[in-house]
Parts: sequence; structure tokens; C-alpha cells
Amino acid sequence: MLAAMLVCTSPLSAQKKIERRIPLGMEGAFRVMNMVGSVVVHGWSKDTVLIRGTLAPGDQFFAGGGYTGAKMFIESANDRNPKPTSLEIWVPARARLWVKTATAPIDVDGVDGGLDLYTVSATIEVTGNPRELNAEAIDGDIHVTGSPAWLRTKSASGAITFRGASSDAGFSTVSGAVRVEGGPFERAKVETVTGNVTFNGRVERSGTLDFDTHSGSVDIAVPDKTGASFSVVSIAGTITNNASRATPTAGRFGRGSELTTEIGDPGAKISVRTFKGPVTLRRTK
Amino acid sequence: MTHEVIRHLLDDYVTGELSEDARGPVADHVAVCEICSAEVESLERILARASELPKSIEPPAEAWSNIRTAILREENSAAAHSTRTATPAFWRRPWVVTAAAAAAVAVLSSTITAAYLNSRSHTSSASITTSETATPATLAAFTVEENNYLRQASALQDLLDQQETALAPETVAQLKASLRTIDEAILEARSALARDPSNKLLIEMLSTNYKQKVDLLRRSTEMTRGT
Amino acid sequence: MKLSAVVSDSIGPFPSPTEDKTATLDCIRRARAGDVDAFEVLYREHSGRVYALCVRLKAGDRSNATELMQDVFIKAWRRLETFRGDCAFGSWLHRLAVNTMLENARSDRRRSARVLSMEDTSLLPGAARSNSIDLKMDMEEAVASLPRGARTAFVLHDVEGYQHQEIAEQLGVSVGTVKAQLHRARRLLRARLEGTKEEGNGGIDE
Repeated sequence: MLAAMLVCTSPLSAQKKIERRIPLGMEGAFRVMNMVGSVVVHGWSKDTVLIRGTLAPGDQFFAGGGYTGAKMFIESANDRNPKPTSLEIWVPARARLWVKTATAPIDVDGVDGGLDLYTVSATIEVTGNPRELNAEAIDGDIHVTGSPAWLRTKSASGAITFRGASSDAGFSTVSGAVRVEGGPFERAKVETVTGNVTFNGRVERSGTLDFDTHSGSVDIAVPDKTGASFSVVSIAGTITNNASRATPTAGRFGRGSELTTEIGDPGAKISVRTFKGPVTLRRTK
Repeated sequence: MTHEVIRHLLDDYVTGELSEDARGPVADHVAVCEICSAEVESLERILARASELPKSIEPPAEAWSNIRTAILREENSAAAHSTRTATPAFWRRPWVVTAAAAAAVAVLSSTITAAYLNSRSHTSSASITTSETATPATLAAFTVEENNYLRQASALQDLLDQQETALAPETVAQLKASLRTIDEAILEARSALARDPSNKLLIEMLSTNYKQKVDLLRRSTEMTRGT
Repeated sequence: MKLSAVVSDSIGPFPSPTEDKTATLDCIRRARAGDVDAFEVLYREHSGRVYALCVRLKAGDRSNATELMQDVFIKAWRRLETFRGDCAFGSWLHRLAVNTMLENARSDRRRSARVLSMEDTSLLPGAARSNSIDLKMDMEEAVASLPRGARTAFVLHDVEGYQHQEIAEQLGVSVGTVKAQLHRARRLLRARLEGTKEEGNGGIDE
């Protein structure tokens, strides 16, 4: 895949501006590694990758590849204390983009191919409708606005917000809050350990929504006309049902509580499992 | 015994560790020697102050939670590395390790276990809390799965520990906090399961927690590696 | 006055008079089976004494002492099976604390070539004050200001009540060395507590 490796070095003293063009097929793959600084990517309609950036003194910029796949990365002058490099990149809109940073925020818009975005503690922001989006952070927040068909977002302590629709969406945190809005959703799964979950959106008639948490609160709001069946089980938490008249019943052996209820015509299946987080179900106008 | 010799015996004399034979002569000398009696008094003062030092000092409040966290990790590792039975250390209770359970573990294949744990059709969700009497096989099956997770988690944890210096200290702290959060959830779910061993929901929750832990560890080790 | 020569059946310091042996054994049994809450009870009962020992062994450095104490209890958890119940649990913990301190010190020394010499007292917390013979310290400060070997011997013998032989065994040195360190410790303490001139230094610390 890597036909030729082009090396571009910068003088050790001054901050260097770089600009580089690399041919890349409309559905080619492009890989970016920039640990510190920032990475902004736009999708465009050319079969070229354009990279513009400002390198920190002493850092080196490497880029190269072929028409089907290319990559670029920044090599830091001092690995122990890397200085920021800010990058702005244009890639073919249907490209498959892979980005990895440590603390550099990642901001992608207009890329419809596939996105694989990884950071340790920076924020990931995606706008657009990629076919596939996989975004992972340890300590960073993830914000997605748009309608990726397939979506997986993971952060341990960062928060995840999503505004849009998806046919297969997954959201996972340990302690970060998860906020999902919009829809319609065909399949969505939200999983936290202690992070609070808010869902306010539409679900397809054949859709399924699953919410799993240990102690985070779960607040689900669906539009009035939704047809869905709810199944909520809690080992030690409370269930508040404002979506229908049904009241929660005591769980097995009198511990915890559970609720099974339907609204509208049979349709979507919404399930909630929690150890001790409070659950609230509501309907919106 | 001369003064020069006795001078060096005064320490033991004061703490009563001198031999019977030597006590007499030393005592006699001390009675008439100003230097030595001053020395004896001074030693007695030091020892008195030593004995007055508080026997107990209150440790900082967070010490216990650090110990507890480390112990939880130990327990998870120990269970994973245990070569005795498939029973995790936490559940060393007689009624869990029944002959039937042991046999069930041997019979069940991991694919069956995986299929059981991964199945989440809605009908099974709804029936989770119906009164089904659990067979020992259910718990035993989970035990096998749990050990797999514990082994993976342990191996990944070791890998992560080696790479710790590659991550910023704040990130390491945040990561450890997240792992602790998951461990606490695991502990709560396990305690509940120990009291209510036929609760399939708890088994599924525990399984989810383990998956989360292994996933977080795996992701973290991958973050520090270049590509 | 505390006389460590009083014959004691148990190894090390006297067991605390309030230690309820059956309750402790019960907790130990449960902790061995994995009950962390039972172990916490043991911790609450014994951590004060263990911590006091750790603080003094670590020359008053609270954060090192806390780390040491945590190590001790984690080790205790791992080795609960080896506690035979033939001595008081508190004594067992004490020995473990001294062992742990020595183990940690040995691996620290492997990592850094520095050896504290008698002359090198400037590296010790509170040592700056010992240069002024007019300033009288309080007892804790004075003990903390001692060079490591002298301090360890003093804390174990004169504060905690171990015998020379036991200390020699634990530290892996001769009884003669222990006595010499004790002698030194007491002289230095006298100088620092009573503001008298210190005796000349000589020899190396361990």
C-alpha cells in the first residue's frame, strides 16, 4: 500500500508551516497520527488529500502512500514533552479516515466514508453522516451530530452526546454522562457503570433500545405517538413511570423492582437493566 | 572492673539486660561515680520518654480505601490464576462447590456458556425475574466465564502497568479511577449474587461489568502503543 | 520505665491487653475466606499501632509511612493463611511491618546507589535542626532525626520492646551491631533533647 515514503523535515529552530498534497482515491484510506495540538479534518470532493499545518520547532512531518491508502504522522523532537502541532486536513468525502491523538482534539466534518477516531484525553467532535463511526477516548468527551449508520462511541470518564439518527448505535462509558437525542433509532445500546443516561428521541417501529447501567440514572423520553413495550428491571433502584399507568412491581424475593408495560401499538422494544440507578420513563409531546 | 569498662555496660545495666554477675559491681561503681550516675540518669530519661511515645497513631482516612482497592485487584488476579477449582476466592462457600456444580463445569463447553451469556432476546429479558429455580450449572457456567475474564483482565493489567509511564499522570489517575469504579460495581454485583445465586439478571450484569473492564484495559494498552 | 528484659512468651512487643483473641480469630478466619469487611475490622483494630511503627521507622515522613502501612496490610491479606494463631495478631503484623520495611529498603537500595552514611545526616528530615545545639527537639522529632540504622534499632528496642536478638535476626545483622546502633541512638537523642554537645561520629550507618 505504501508505494513511496516522502519525508519532509523542518529546521530545528523555527516553527514551520507545512502544506502538502497527496493523491488519494475517492474511497481511499488515510491515517493521521498527531499526539499533541489539534487535528481538524474536512471532507471534500477531490481525490486528493491536502494537509496544512504548523509544526512545533524540531518536530518532523512524515507523509506518503499510494492512491488506495496513505498516511501521515508527526514525529516529536522530544517524546517526553511533545509540543503541539496543529493540522487542518482535507480528504475525499468518501475516504476511510483513521486518526489517533493523545491530547490533540479531533474535529471531523463532512466525511461520509468511515471514521476511526482514537484519543486518550482530548475531545472528539464529528459532524456529518459517515457510514461508520468508531470513536474512542479514555478521558475525553465525544460529541456526534449527524446520522452515522453504524456508530460506536466509548469513553471511560468522558461524556458522550449524540444528536442524530442511526440504525446501529452503541454508547459506552464508565462514569461519563451519555446524552442521546433525535432519532429515529433502529438499534441503540447505552452502557454505563455510574454515568447518567438521558435519552430523548424516536425509535423505529421495529427498533430496540437497550440501557444497561450499574448505578447511573436512566431517563427515557419518547414521543407521545410511539408504539413500544418497556421492560425495566432494577436490583435495588427505583422506577418512575410517567409514560403509562402501569406501576412497578416488587422484584424477585421482594428485592428491587421491575416494570413491564406497553404504550401505543406494539412496536419497539425498550429495555432497561440497572443495579441501583433510578429509572424514569416519560412521554414527550 | 574499671570505669572504662563499666562505661560501656551502662546501656545494658539500665535496661536490665546485664548478666547477674556484672550487675553488682556496676551498681557499686555507679553509686560512687558522678559521670556514670549522670549517664545512667540520662539514659533512664531517654527510655522513659521512649515509653511515653504514643503507641498508636491514627492513619489517614484514605489508607483503607487504597488497601481495599488493592485487595480487590488481588482477589480478581488470584481467582484468575487459581489452579485449584474454578471457584473464585470470593465465593469459597461450601454450598457453591457442590459435586453437581463441579460436574456441570466439566460438561459445559465455553461456546454454550458464551451463547447463554450473550443471548439477550427480549423474551428472556422479560422472564429474568420469573421464579425459576436455578440449577448449580448456571452459577458454575458463569464461573468458567468469569475466570476467563479475570485472566484477560489480569494479563492486560500487567501490560498496562508496564506502559504506565507512557501516559500522562492525570490520565493514569483517571484511568485507575475508572477501573476502581468498575471494580466497585463488580463487588456489589457479586455480593448480591452470593446472596441470590439464582438471579440470572445479576449474572448478566456481572458479565457486562467484566466485559467493560477487559475492554477498558485493552483500549488503554492500545492507546500507548504506536501503530 | 519500660524494661524490655521482662520475660515475655510472645515474640516481639506485648499484645495489647484489650485484644479479644476469639473475636480476632473469627475475623481472621472470615478474612481468609475472602471477606473484605472482616479484614477491615482487623484493620481498624490494628492500623493505629502499625501506623505508629511505620511513621517512626520512616523518620516521621507521613506519606512514606502511609505507603508502607498500606503495603503491610496488603501483604497481611495475602499471607493470612500463614498466621498460625500462636502469637498475637498484632505482633504478627508488627513483624510483617518491619520485614516489609526492610524488603522495600533493599529494593530501593538496589535502585539507587546512595547509602546513608553517618556523616550524611543532612539527607534526613529534621536533620537541619540537629546542628544547632541550643534548640531542643521534642521526642518524635528527635527520633525522626536519627540516622536510619540508629533509628530502626531505637524504635524496635526502646519504643516497641523487641529484644536485641530478635532485632538482629530481623535486620540480618549481629547483636553487637544492634547494641552499637542503640548506643548511638541514645547518645544522639540525649544531645538533641537536652541540647548537649554531640559525641563525635564514626563508622558508617549499616
